[in-house]
Amino acid sequence: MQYSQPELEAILSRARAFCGYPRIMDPELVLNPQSHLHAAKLKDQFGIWEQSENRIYLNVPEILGKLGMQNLEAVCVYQLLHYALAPFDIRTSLRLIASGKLALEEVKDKGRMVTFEEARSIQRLFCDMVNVTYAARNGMMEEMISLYHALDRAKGLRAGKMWKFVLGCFEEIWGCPNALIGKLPNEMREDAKHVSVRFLERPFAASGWEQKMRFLVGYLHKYYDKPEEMDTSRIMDHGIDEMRGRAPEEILRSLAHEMGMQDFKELVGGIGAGSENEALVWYYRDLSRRYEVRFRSVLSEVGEEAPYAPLAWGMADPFEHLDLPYTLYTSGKAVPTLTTKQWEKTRLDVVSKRKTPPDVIIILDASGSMTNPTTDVANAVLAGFVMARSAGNLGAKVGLVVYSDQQRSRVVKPSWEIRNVEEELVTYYGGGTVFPVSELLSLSSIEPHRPKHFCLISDAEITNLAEAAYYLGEALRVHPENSGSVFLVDQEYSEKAEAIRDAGYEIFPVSRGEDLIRIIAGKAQELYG
Amino acid sequence: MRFPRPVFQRNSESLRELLDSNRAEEEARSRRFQDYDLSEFFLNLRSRDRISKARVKKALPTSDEKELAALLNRLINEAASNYIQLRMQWQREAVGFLTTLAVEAASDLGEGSLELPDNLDYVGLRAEGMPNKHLMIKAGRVGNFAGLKARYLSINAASVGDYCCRRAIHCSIETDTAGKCLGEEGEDLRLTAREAGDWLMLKSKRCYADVHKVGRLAGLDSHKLTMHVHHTGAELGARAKDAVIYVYQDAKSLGLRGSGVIYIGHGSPPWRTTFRVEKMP
Repeated sequence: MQYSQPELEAILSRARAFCGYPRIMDPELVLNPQSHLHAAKLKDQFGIWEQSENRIYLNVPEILGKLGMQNLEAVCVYQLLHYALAPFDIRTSLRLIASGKLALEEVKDKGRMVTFEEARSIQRLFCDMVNVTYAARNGMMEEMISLYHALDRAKGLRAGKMWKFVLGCFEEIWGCPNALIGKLPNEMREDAKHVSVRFLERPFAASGWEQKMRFLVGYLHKYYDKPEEMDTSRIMDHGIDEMRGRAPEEILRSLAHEMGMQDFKELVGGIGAGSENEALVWYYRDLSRRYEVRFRSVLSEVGEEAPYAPLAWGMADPFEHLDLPYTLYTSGKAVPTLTTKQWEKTRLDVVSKRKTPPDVIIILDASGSMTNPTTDVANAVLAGFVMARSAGNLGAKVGLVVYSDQQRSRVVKPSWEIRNVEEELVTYYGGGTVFPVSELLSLSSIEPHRPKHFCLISDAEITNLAEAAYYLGEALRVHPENSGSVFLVDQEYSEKAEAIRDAGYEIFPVSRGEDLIRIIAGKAQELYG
Repeated sequence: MRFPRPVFQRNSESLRELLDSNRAEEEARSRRFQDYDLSEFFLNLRSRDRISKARVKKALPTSDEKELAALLNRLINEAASNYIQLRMQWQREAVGFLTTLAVEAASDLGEGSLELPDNLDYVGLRAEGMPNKHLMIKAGRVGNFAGLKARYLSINAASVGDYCCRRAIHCSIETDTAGKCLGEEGEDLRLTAREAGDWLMLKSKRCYADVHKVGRLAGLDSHKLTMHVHHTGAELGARAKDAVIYVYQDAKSLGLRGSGVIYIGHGSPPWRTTFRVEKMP
């Protein structure tokens, strides 16, 4: 086989330019796979993606032997487009996998069990279709037809129904009848036409991929018996949808805003990222990030000088008064007197006192009258996350009592380990509501020199209300800066809560569940912002 | 996302290719609109979680108000024609959301009321009108859970099923017969009916009902209920607060621990009750 190194490099650089230089390491063209570091993986493969190096290795002899030199560039483009277009990143692929799984369940209700592996194979095939269609519609039509021709030849008699259907779809989508497969059974041809019609509606807009993939699932499942048949209809793996040894929570971050809790839990379990409890914690943590207090605003004490207005800085002014960053920011260069700036300062009159951020003790009602956080998004639990994370971000300790009735309550002593608290926050007991007096007493007596804020989240249907109000009041008296607030879930007014108000607590009635988060975020801002 | 820049000579910047691909996309869009049916709608909507109005709207392939109204009517009729096949609750809720979107679209287009096929459940689910622009639904027979969590919705039907207008606010129903638990936990509702089932206006606030005959425990746990009724079942107005109830003919029994006033016709027996009982002339 005749090829020169500069020629191969020119092909690779053209492919990279076509794909807009995707953010991965430069692909490596392996000329001698037998003596290569990844020889075992490269055997009989057109290429591999090595996750530890984030690099593609293309097996040049295999490609040239089975597909021909003329198709090397198309193979490079095929592979690189995965990192530039579809799926682009793991979140997109996870979204598509979750969608594909649900669609499979919808179309195969009466059939066999549906797995995430099957959905992943469909997702990979779908992304291939998007990528090669992009290449075909942007000047590489002949190259892509030639590539799939060569693949078809290489498959020979092993080509199954799935492969034929995929080729039929490409013929329809690219508008090149009989260029790839030619004659197909009528039903298969009709299905390919349907798929192409749906596919051609803004095919490269990622926002529409989920619906397109669900639609594709409706036809695709007819043409395979085993999911592996879809994998063999592809050229090589891109590895984007693999965990790659990254922290699962990082991979799943922000997906909570895009899917419901049950779908999220199933996705986490389906890809083997974590347990149900971990999934719940990640879900609530993700949602609470929007509301939590992250930084403390800078407050100045009375009498302190604060910058008021910029002034010109001259050579006669003290050098330490010169604000060089501000000078460069405003004019780009420092010309003494002309562009240099200093600050006129003013004495603050606003009374503000720096306080130690109080530790927070969350007392969360997990009785039957509250929403179960494992089945629906529970505003009370989400509010607990917001309060706990705000306190944790500002260096305060967080303690927790999750209670239901006397036999069942869970306690986390005040600590800086917010994760311990988060794991317990998603606990649900159901049953009756008996306020955990002894737990409250023990938590309030821990480190009495540290100020505490007691945050009760409940619907105030408490059996031992008089006792609870008394001991809540006692807890406030342990430290002069102790304070407390009660968030009444789904109530405009509660006579029972008035007893707690008399004990010195602020009462926040919440008639609409979704307001609870904003109200508690406001309280967190007041305490820690 | 930034698309890769084509480097080959035959690139998408050539006007002809751009026009061709635009035309193909436009054709695909119109074909999709024509082909869209209920099974594809359910395929797009399938989830482990509860469905919402936003998700239903997102699953529909059009954002143009007129096209949307036409598509919704088509889907609702398709669902009604084979409603017995929609056995799962989420499917029926989804159809309910379709009716909601349809009535909202009709209101936006200034078409007034929306006529719906018979026997659909969850009609007007979470429909949201405005104080100066009530949404109007007309139907022969409305199924269960109509007007659930709706606001500013009016339903005019020959009959409505159970649990209608539950947790609804500022809604009204005009019907001949209504099922049980109508207006449960609702606020500022108006009901006109010939006959209503048990637990009418349960736990409701500031509601008004004009019914010829009501079942048991009408107005249980309600606040500021005003009711005009001819015949009532047992335990009328139990635990109601500040109720004003007019009974023109007969009441089986008055509920315990209610407060407010009951105007009752002459000839009725003297009741031992916490209500203030006034005899009507």
